[in-house]
Amino acid sequence: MFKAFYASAELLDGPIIAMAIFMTTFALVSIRMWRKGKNNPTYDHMAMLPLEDNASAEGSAS
Amino acid sequence: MTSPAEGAATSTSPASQHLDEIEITYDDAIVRKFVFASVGWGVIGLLVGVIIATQLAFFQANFDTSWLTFGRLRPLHTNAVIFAFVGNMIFGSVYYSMQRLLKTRMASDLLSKIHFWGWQLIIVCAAVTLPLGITQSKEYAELEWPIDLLVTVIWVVFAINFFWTLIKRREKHLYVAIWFYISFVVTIAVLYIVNNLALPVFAFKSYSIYAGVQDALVQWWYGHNAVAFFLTTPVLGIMYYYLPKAAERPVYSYRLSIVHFWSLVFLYIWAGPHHLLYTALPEWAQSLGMVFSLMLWAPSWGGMLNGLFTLRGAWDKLRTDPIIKFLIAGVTFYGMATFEGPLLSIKSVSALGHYTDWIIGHVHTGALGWNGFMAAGVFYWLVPRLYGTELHSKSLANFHFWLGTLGILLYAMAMWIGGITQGLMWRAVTAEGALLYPNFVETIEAIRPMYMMRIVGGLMYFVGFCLMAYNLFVTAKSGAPVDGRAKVPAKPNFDDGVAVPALLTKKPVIFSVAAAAVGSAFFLANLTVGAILLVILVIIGFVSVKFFGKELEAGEHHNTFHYLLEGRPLLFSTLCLVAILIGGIAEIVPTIMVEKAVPKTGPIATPYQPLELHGRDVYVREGCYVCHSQMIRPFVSEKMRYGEISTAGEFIYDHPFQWGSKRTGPDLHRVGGKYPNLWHYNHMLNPRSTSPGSNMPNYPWLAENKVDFADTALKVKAMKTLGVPYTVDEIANAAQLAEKQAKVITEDLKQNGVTIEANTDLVALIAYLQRLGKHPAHPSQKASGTAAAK
Repeated sequence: MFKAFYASAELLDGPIIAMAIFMTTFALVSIRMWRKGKNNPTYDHMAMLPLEDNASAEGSAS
Repeated sequence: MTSPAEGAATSTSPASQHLDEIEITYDDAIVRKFVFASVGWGVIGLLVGVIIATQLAFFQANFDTSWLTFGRLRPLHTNAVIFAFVGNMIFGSVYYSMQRLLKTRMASDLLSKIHFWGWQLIIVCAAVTLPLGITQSKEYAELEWPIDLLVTVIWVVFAINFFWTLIKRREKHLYVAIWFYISFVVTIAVLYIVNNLALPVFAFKSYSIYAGVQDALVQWWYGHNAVAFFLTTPVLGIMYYYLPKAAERPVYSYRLSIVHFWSLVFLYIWAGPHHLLYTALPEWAQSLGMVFSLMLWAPSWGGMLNGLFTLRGAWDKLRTDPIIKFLIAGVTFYGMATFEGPLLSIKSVSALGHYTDWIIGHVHTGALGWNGFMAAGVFYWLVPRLYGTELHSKSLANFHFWLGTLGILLYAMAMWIGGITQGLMWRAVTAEGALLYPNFVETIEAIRPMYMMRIVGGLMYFVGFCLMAYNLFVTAKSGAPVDGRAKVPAKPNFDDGVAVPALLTKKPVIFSVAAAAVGSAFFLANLTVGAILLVILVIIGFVSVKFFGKELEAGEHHNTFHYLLEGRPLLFSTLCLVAILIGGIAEIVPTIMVEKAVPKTGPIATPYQPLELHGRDVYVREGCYVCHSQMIRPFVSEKMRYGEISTAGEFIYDHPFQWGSKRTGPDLHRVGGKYPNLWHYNHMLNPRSTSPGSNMPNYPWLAENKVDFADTALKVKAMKTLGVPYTVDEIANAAQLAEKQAKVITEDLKQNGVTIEANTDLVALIAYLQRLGKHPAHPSQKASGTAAAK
């Protein structure tokens, strides 16, 4: 099939199917995360990393 | 999510649980250097942009001077904005954020300095060579081979420092910004090296090892992903660090960032062929480019929404804080550009928009809106902190914001209107079926008001940028350089008790491998088996969503796959590399290695005569490809306007390809023999003498500059090395053959009352232009008695 794909334009449904699968999966995963992610502390520490140095940062003249 | 204050006070980081702490000082001197280099180069890059916009509306602005001509300044503009302005901004922002996210100083101050000064040297080399016409003619990869080598060395220096810092980090987990930085460092290295493979001929002249269709695909695989992995992914990383900092709240959804990161880096690499729709590129590659571009819409908007929603509960800041204004407007422009990109990748939309100013408008929505505004937001946030002071003037920053926004809108609207107008005029036909606007210049004159509107928009943006430069400079002067300090764990314990093999047997990996295996089997199987495998693939997808989701929901940190992955930079980087290589290999390798993948349709090219080769180099040097395509698409209107449709076989000896990406002037693929030599002579010296109303510059120096026929044999020999079937005699007699052909042209001109020396650039260029679209028999064919040249 791969030879036919690269040699001609007869199998162009393949990329379209791949797109449909991807879009569906992406939407499902995103919706699931959107709905379930609100009260999940698993990633809170990582999400807070940019803000951690707010309290501890000090400066020194260089 | 906890509040920022709670997060800072009660962090449960494994690293922070250690009592032994040390105080470290960050290397912020390197950040200051990169920031002000970015601002300085930004002023120059934008100024050149305004100049070339003026040249398009008023040809007189080219001043009949070679190094000030549009074809040479346009690459300078794009390189200055991409690599000097945005590049320095990225490096400065990365150095600042990664030290703090990893809780460590950069691994080597020396490597940081080499990176900074090396990068500035590269920019200076570009600023000198591009106006001199020293170019490879590949968009955003114009720099010649010695500079490419320098870029490679400096990139390796940066990469060593980057990964060394990752290794000596004191925070186990790599924050989402770091993931995007990793994809940036790894992918740009791959793209740059592959696309710039060339055979050096002299000190500053080389020929691409790829030709025609292959060269076009490799170039736009690079060109598109330069946008993706230089202008997008690192800036997304910057968004993920600086937007939460400015908004003082964590990113809206860390989990969404996982999904959108991996989708983005995997999909982006496939989308390059959308720059070549309806060209001689094989249909399979065009289709892959189109559908993967459409897929990109999802992860792109995932990132945009994640950025916008980070401001939840603090939208009031948008009224008062110029930093938030710039960052949020930047993210919004990102959303607009990433909606427009997939739209333009749909073949029927591309048929209208490609080669027009619509594409220029699209690009500038991203460059000015996304990159420029993100840079401004970061700089306004960063500079006061780097100098321990307050921003000099908030009101000036606010004025900059509104001036810049209005400038972008004027620019984009001008290009949308101009582009669509011109696209429609090119294809318009009368009731009798003839072209409604057969004279190309008519379509230029119709959009000239839009070119003027573009100058106004660009000028407004440029003035706003200069105001920012002043504001930042005064801010820096009012303070003193300050290096950030932090207390960090002395000996953090990164051991989570999970070995890499155990990690690789986690469900997400198993499902991913299973899906990839079934997907590959689908591709290798015949249609019947493929249909069955497709059903299995869909089932695996749904099951993985269920189990992957559960995996992510597990309450214990050590149970989650991505949480564990984030603690392993090497594995993370490797998976990232694999993600980007899949698309690259699937598209590039068959194009180069599998003959059937690029069928040599249509007439087969014959090698250029030595003088034509010289003329081609003049065409490349003057940047003719910037305004003229050499690719007639399969549309009735194009066939009527330009001639027979271009086919793949005609370009097999084009090292590098010259298909172009914009038609400020008409397509030239069938210009050979269309006009007499005298017409070309007059046209090059004064385009208005043959095409009244044209905005093309005059090229008086072409009649003065001399071709060095002593170089001819070297050039022909180099082409032979690349596979062009020149005969031994042709190489030995290259100079004589070139002179002979030149004399035929000068004799013809003489008969028409024009005297010109045979060894001039203009004669060589006329020879090349007269050859375009023609395939005369070649000595190698005569010898073998075949019609094909190979």
